Order: sequence, then C-alpha cells, then structure tokens
Amino acid sequence: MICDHSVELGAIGSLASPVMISSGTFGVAKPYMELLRGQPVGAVVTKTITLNPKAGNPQPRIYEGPCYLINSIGLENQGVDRFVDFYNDEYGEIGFPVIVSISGNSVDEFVTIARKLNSIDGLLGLELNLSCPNVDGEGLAFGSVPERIGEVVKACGSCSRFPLIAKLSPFQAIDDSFALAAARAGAAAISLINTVPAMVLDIHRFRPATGALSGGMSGPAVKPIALKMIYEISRSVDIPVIGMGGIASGEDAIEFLMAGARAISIGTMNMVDPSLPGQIMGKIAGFMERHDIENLPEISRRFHL
Amino acid sequence: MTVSENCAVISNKSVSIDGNLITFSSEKIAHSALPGQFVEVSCSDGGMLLRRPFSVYDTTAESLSLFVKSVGRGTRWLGGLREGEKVNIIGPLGKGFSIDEGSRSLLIGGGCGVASLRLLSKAIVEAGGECDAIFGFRKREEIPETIVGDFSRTARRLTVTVDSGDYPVRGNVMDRLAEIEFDRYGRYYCCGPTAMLRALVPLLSLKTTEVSLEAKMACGLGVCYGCTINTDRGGKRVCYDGPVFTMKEVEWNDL
Repeated sequence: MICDHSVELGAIGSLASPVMISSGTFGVAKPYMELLRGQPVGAVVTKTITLNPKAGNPQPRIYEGPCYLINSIGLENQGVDRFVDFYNDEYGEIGFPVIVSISGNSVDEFVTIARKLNSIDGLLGLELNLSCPNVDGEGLAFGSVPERIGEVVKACGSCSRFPLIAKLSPFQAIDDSFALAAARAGAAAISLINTVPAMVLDIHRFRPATGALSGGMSGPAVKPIALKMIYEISRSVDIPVIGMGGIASGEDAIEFLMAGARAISIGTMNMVDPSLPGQIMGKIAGFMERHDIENLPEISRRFHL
Repeated sequence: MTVSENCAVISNKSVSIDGNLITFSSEKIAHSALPGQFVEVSCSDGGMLLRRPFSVYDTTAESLSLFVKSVGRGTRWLGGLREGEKVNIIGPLGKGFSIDEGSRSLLIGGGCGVASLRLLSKAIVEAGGECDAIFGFRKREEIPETIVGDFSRTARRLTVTVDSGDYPVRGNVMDRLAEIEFDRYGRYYCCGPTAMLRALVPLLSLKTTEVSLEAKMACGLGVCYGCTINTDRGGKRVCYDGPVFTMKEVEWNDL
C-alpha cells in the first residue's frame, strides 16, 4: 500500500515529513548542517530570537544527568536585526522550511520582533516562546495567565504575515486554559512541551550546578510528562498540536503521534545524533506499512482505551 | 567535511593511572582531522545521553587515536571498551591550530591536555619547523609514558615535570619556563587545565600564542551555545569558533 507521510498543519500548510527540529537545537553551523543535510525534516525551528542581543547565562550552561539534560543557555542570540541579516546571508541554502522562534519581555516586544521578521520572505511561521519568566504589567509573571498569552498571540497575529505557533511550557500545559486562549486568539498551532523548569545543586560548593540558578530539563526523562499533556491538549483544541519532549527513537515518535500530535519535533537527541530524523521516518514508515495505516492522523485515530 | 562514522576499537591500552589510549578504525575522520581538532564520541551504549568530546591524539590512514582520561561515568565506560567493539564518532570538529612554516615553537601541555598537541608537533616538523615541549602532570602515576614516548620522537627537547612526589623533575610548567629562555620561540601552543593556562597569560599573551580550551558541550556541532566563552569579540563557541583561540582574545577572568 502507499502510505502518505506528509502532514497538514492547518494554516501553516503541509509538511513533507512529520519530523521537525526543535528550537534551541537547530543552527546553520557548518558541521551540523553537513550531518543534517538530506534528512527527512519537515521544518526546523530557529533558536529563540529576542529584540536585543542577549549574551546568555554564565557557565556552566549544561548539566547531564541520567536520561536528562539541563540547560541554562539564557537565550543567547544576536537580536532580531542581526538575525534578519544573518537569515538572508545563511539560510538560503539549508533546504528545509524555517519557523522562527521569538520571545519578548512584553507584548510590545513580541510585536516589534514579529514586524521586523515580516521583511523575510518565505518563513513557514513564527513560534512564540511564551515561557518567559519576566514581569510585564500588573506584577504578574509574563506567561503565568492565559489572558496574557491570548493578548500576545492576538497582537502578533494582527501584525505578522506568518502563521503563529504558541509554544507552551509544561506549566502552561497542566490544563487546557493556555492552549484554548492561544487558539481563540488565532494561533495556527500549539507546540508543547518546552523544557521543564529544573535545578541541580553542587553540594560540594554550596551553590547551583549551573551558572544560572536554574535551567530547563529535556531528554528522554521528560517524555511521559510530555505525552500526557499532548494527549489532553490535542483533545481540547481544534488546531494542530506539535508534540515534543525527549523523543529519542522512531518508537517514541510514534507514541507522540498516537497520543494526538499532528507532527513531532526532536531537540536534545537531534544534537546527539543528527541522523535521527531519517531513523525516525524509517520506523514510522515501517509501522504504517505493518498496520495498514494510510496516513499519519490515522495513527492517533486507532488509539483506544 | 564533518562525518558520522561507526568505528571499531583496534586497541585500548591503559597508559597511566587514569588514562587510556584508544585507537579506532576510521577512514573518513582520520583522513581529514587537522591538528587541534576534536571528535564527539557516542557513549549511548554506556547509558550516557551526550557524546563526549576528545582531541584527536593521532591518526594514520586507517585509524584515529584518542587519549581518554577517566573523569566520570562516560569516560570510564570508554576506558573499558574491548577490541572490536564499535562506537559512533562524529568529526573532525572545530577550528584547530595554525602553523607557521619553519617556525620554532614551544608546546606547553598539562595533564590530558598534552593529547591535543600530538598532531600539531608532527605538523610543525613536517612543515620544516621544530618544537620543544614542556609537559606538566600532578604526579608520576599520571604520566602517560607511551604518549610521552611518542612526543620524544617529534619534540627536539621534551621536559616532563610533576607537581609533587617521586620524580626527577618536580614543579609545575611555570617553574620549568623560568629555567629557560622562553622568549626565543616564534610560536607558543598551550593546552591544559584552566589554572595552568591562566598562569601562563602574563608571560605569553603578548606573543603569538594559541590555546586549546576544554569545555562541557552538549552538541559539539555549533548549534546549542552550551559551551560559549567570553572573548574580546564577544561570546564565542568553544566547539565551533574554537577549541583553539589566541591567548590574547580570551577573557581569562571570566573562565
């Protein structure tokens, strides 16, 4: 039988493969691109771009535990203006559709970045990194209430010419209120989960084991947490959910698709093995073949209690 | 070109109290590795998530060798690899050393940092130059005799010193530098613990000095920014912009 491996992501359009590369783990650095070239990648998401350049957090930025990674990079990036130049110089040849991840300290910052990115042609979409801990208005941590998420999505939607993906942290995915707020405000898709806020202590030095107080946890250990959230939220919203969190194999990817993710994204493990998209697609194709599954959404339709 | 290669262990020898010299079969990586470049070795079969970065110690047409000092679970697992076992290696990676044809060079290495200087010493000699080397170790048991022996064939004068204990030459590399006219070299290359490199800064930062830095890396491929250090040109990735930097450009107070 002929299996269809493409995915429809609503307003974002169609991807040739359900495998995406997550924000923070993709870059156009030559050695990485040499390894990723030719892989069946549906879309890549850039590192998060902020309005102004960010130097990032002090070292150490990486802590590896059993089955998890904690990073405290601190969104090091060159700022949106230099990113636009860099994009025009370096992204032309990469061969994958590109989604730009953006983050701001306020609704205004999100809007300014989104406007500036309108000067780039052919982006697949913008992913709004909504996990920012900063305070903006009414003393509430930005991203801590669904209404604020809705405001950001709506404001960016009215000025960006690209479809928007709302990326939720696990704390914003504990119930469906944030996802529903994003969908009602016009988001084209939801992606989850971002890294899990986490910390590690260096007991010998009486201080955090990372340069910053805490970081974000990723890797295979977060996978079951992500699956549960994707299962719940994909049933609440009527826009596509892009699932991610610790995917390390084709079997993992199939679990996410079965739980309700329309597409899946790999992050941490893609850095360890850039040939993972090909391995995952091979497993998905074999699985579909074996179970007479014609298209990807059928994988989740077959799921039952 | 960076490639991913499944490499079989040809030999794995214990060469010091906590160090192994592991030789892997490799054609593609071995063929293109330049002095100062590194590889990322998969430790997934040993239960590790991330790869481990190592300087390329030496290459032949069909093999590459790494000096693996046991510092944690990943490196201990690598140290236990048996002949014929395969691991996936990505490389060559990073920006290596630059070489002046016919120059007189001084290599300064500390601990497992000596490993990154081996291909360099061969390249210097091949380019018609000559090099002397000063290597420091904490104690006698940490001296990898096989590796020191390899260097004795390319370095014109090789001095090995230990911080303390039973050994003819005692003291650190700074003590050895004080004994020679270290001004007479055209180029200086250093690799070792941060404390050693920092101590060398007042003596060597105004000279043509390159340092190879060690860093914890997540990707090793230039994408995650986990290994960024501060330089006089802003943040730079050790894995991509380095691991070799000029001593002058590094902000040593931030390391």
